[in-house]
Amino acid sequence: MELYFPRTKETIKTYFSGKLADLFTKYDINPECVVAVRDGIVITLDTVIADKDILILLPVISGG
Amino acid sequence: MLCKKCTETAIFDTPSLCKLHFSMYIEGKVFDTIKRFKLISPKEKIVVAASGGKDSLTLLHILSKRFNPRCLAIDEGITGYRDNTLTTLKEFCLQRKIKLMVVSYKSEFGGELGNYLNGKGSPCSVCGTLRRYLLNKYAKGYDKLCTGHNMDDEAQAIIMNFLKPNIETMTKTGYKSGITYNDIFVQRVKPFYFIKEKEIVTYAHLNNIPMGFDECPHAVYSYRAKIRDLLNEYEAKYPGTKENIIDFFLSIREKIKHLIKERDINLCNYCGEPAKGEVCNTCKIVRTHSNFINLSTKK
Repeated sequence: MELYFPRTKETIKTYFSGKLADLFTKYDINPECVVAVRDGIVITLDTVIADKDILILLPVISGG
Repeated sequence: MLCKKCTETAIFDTPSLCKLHFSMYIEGKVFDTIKRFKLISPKEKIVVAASGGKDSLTLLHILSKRFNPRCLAIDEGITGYRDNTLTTLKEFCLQRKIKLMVVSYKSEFGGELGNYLNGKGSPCSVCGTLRRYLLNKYAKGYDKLCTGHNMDDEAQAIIMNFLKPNIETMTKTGYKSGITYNDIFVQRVKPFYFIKEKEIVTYAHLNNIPMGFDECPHAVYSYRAKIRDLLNEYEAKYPGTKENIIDFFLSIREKIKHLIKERDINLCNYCGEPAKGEVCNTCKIVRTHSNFINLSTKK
């Protein structure tokens, strides 16, 4: 699967399937700081992610 | 997870709501805040302080549903950051026929933000002083100046004022600025006071509101950024932390207000704008860097 970070335009490719909450734990991502989008749709922490998925992680913090 | 209002899939965790009900929830909360705390009356002339970031664009989007907001932006001259957000803001206002006024540090003071930083102290403190000065000056003629400050911003401010400690500043914060409308101050109101930053990003995405993801290059060094990270860490571990800070503050605000003696507000000897002493903080900053004094700001 792929994780895309729009601010840094960075992509992480990894093998993962499971709940979004577990993905965040694995990569030490604070769920307060991102909004996860799959196929244009915002998803919740209990959403099951498949290894073929591409997730965009919108940063919550921006501006000044 | 299903929406708690219908059978659609939820797009948000707490509260668990679908796309439609989440947008309705956010708009309802904003208009409830406006009504409950009398932030804006139906016939009032309002101006939104906008940067072109997601908070101010979302505020303009929501307020436009019931009011006729104008827009006021400040260009600090931060190349590679503010020029990008202002481009977004201009396009947004043009598409929605919202009247926009942009005031720059350069045209008003003669220099850009970088000209007023001396390497000592926080850039955000200098910038905030200059920006608030211009917002108040150019919002005159409007009944209310609306800002996109959200629950995260306000919880951070409360903790910062507590740790500094700065009780006087703390008592002046809240969903309305402490000073009511008069000839020299335009009252500032915060319709997003009870909306979390994550909720704003989600709402903006759902409603196709443009979002730039840039962060001010000066912000990473700020004390606020440290408090922000700390509170996000706590919120993840102990959900409700930010809301609890706000609720606690509101429960004690009136009780601590009387501890602060009201100061007389003077008019600055140089520019005629509000000042605590004979010279306002903005003129102190600008005059310290005398190469950039814009003579037009003098009386």
